[in-house]
Amino acid sequence: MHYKDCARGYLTMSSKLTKPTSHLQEDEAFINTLYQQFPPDEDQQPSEFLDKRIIKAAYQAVATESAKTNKKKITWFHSLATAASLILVISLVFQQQNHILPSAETSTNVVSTSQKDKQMSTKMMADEAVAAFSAPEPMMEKQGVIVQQSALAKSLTSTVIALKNQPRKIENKDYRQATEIQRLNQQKLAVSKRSPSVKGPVAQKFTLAQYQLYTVKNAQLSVENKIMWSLINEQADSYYITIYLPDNNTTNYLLAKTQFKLNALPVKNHDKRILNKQVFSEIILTNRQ
Amino acid sequence: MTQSELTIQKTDKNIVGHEVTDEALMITYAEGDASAFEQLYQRHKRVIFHFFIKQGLSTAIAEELCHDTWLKLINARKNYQVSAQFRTYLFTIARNTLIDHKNKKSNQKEETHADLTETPIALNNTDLSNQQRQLAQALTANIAALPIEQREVFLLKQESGFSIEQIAKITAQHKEKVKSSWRYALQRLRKGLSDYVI
Repeated sequence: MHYKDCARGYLTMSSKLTKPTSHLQEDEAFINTLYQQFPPDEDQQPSEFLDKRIIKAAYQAVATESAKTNKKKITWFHSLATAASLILVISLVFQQQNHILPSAETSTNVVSTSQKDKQMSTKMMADEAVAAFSAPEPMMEKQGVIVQQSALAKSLTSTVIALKNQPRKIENKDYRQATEIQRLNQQKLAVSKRSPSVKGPVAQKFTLAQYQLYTVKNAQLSVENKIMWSLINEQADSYYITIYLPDNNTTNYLLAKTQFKLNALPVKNHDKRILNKQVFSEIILTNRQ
Repeated sequence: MTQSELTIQKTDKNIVGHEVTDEALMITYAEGDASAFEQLYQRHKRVIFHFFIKQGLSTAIAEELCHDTWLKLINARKNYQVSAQFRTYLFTIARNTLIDHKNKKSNQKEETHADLTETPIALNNTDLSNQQRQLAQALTANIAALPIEQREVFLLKQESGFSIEQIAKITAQHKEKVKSSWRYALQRLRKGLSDYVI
């Protein structure tokens, strides 16, 4: 069909049918008639290459997204797992600590009981140490030194006891101070052991009972084995002597001048090798009170 | 509208005559089913391609713009909402792609008149008679001579079958302005083709 025939056909049709109500409808009918002359253009379509490109892009986009989602899920899972593990570990640690440290009341009781035990044992040790230090020594030069060591040992022991009697939670500062004191005391003790020149007039008091005991014992002994003594130091109100027993033991005593009198005072001799020993009978009891 | 509501719609309302609607397919694709996109593409690939071809663009450029349009759709799949017909949504993307292309061309100052007349309507169809070819050439030339707004509205309505309301949505213009463009386009074409009638 020629296009002119087509157009004429449109005009004939439009005149025969109802008249268009407006120019717009006429124009629309004109264009529609024209377009009807052309068969639908089915052949004109994008190339297969373009189809493949677009479909591939669509599949890739979905695949990438699912990979990202999986990654996100995995990341989330890992974070959660890490957090859960941390919480578990922390809670276990706290629980363990609670097992080790009982409640406040229980811990106080336990601590007080254990502290009592420790005090007892420490006191016993201290007593032993004091006894050991204050035990009679055979050498005269060590007398004063021993006394001082005994005092030091006492102070050291008291420090140890004080430290052990401290509440359980001692602050580090206090603990350091106590440790320092203990260390200094130990140093003093070591120094005093190294320097036997230090002397002191402390000794046990010579009682009436001891005097009688020694007198009886002296009477029983032979002449060569008689009990001897020597003066170490003389104070205003007392004598400080050492008594030599036959079994080569010595004991230091402090004799009150109000109660005892030394008949033959020893001759001063600077030669330390010669002992100014006197027989026990030279010690005279002047007052029985 | 939530995704679950959309899924419900997809299962009942959007199945028309045992065929899943475009909107349901698009939602299915957005959920990760790429085969749904294939169906969509097969349904609309020709109309989109024709839309670009009817703009007077060469086949190569039309294919390039088709590719861009579909890629934009792929990338925007998560933001798709059933507020209008899928075709309207797709042609909005196609139109924006065309505008971007024209802006780029105008910036590069490479646009020539040959672009608009390179592939006239139906000229590739070998079944046409000489008279039909002549008429087709005249129609193509007249369409190409239309101002861009009128040409756009004419092609969307006459070639792609959209209503005035849908074109107003696609072009983001007022309905009356679209109507006016449509009327002027028809007047111009009738005037230009009147020589072939008498």
